[in-house]
Amino acid sequence: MTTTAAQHAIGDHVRVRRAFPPGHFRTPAYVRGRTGVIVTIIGTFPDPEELAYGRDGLPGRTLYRVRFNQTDLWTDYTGSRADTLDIDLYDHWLDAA
Amino acid sequence: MKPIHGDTEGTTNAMNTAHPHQPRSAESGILQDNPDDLAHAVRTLVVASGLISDDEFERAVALRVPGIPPAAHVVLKAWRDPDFTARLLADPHGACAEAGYPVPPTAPRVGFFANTPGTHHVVVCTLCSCHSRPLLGVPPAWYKTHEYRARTVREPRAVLAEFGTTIPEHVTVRVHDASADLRYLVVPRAPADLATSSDADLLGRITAESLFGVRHVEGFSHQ
Repeated sequence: MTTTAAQHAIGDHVRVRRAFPPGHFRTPAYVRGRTGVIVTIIGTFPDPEELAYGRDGLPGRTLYRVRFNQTDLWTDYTGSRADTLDIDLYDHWLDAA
Repeated sequence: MKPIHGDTEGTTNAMNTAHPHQPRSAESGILQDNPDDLAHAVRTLVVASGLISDDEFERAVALRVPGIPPAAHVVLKAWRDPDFTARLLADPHGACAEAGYPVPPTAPRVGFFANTPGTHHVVVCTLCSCHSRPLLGVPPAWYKTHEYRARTVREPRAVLAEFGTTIPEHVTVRVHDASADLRYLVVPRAPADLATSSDADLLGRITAESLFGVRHVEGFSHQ
C-alpha cells in the first residue's frame, strides 16, 4: 500500500484541524480545533474518506491514538481533572501544536 | 436449528417431515406455521450453494443469539493468567487466537484496555456503533443510541452512574471513542471471589456491559 509518511511521534502535541469539509470523514466535530497528545501510532490504513466513495483509499493514512484531557474538550466537565478521552485520528487531520 | 447434511435433495423432504404433528394444509403458509422450516430451507440452500460453510453459518447464528460473548472467554483467561493479560494488551489478535477465539482476518482490528485500581476504561463510538462483532456478537441496543454516543464522551461519569457504576474520584476515567479503524474492548476488574468460582459462573458475569466498560462484573467492588 502506498502511504504518506507519519508526521508525528509519540508524545507530540497536536491540534485537530478545525475544518468542515463536505463528504465522509471519521473526525467527530467535538475534537476539531482541540489539542491533544499522540499516545500510540496505530498503523497505516486506507483513507476512509476515499473508501467511502468506492475509491482505493490510497495513499494510506497513518492512524494515531490521540489523548485529550476532558477539561480541554468540555469547559463544563465535572469529573476528575485526570479524566481523558482517547480517539483515533488520521494524520491529515492533525497539525503540530 | 436442525442438523443439515448438505444435500439439496433433502430440502423438500426435511421441510415435509420436520413437524409430523403439524400436518401442512393447502392454505397454510410456511412463514405462519413453521418459521423454522423456512430458516432450515434457507440454510440448506446457502450452504449447498457454497456461499458459506455449515460451520460458518453456525458461528454467524451463534453471534446473533444472546449469550456469553466470545470475548468473555478471553477475559476469563486474562483474569486467570496475568502473563496472558500482558500478551492480550500487547498483541490482541495473537492472544485471542491463543484463547481459541481468533478474530477473522477480514474483521476490523481489535484492542483491549484493562481496568486497574487507578483507571477505568469505557468504550463508545460517537460516529456510529463500531464494536467487534466476532468478539461481542450483536451489541446491546443502548450501545447504538444517540444518547449513549453523545453523552459518554461528554459526561462519562454521569452515564456510568446511570448504569449503576459509580467511579471514585481518585480513579481516572478514560473514554475511548472507537470511531476509526479499530474496535475496542475492556478487560473488567476481576471479582473478589475469582479464585473460588467456577469458569461457568464467571463467564455468566462477564456481560457485554462489562466488556464495553459501563458495568463492573458482579462480585467486584472498589476497595
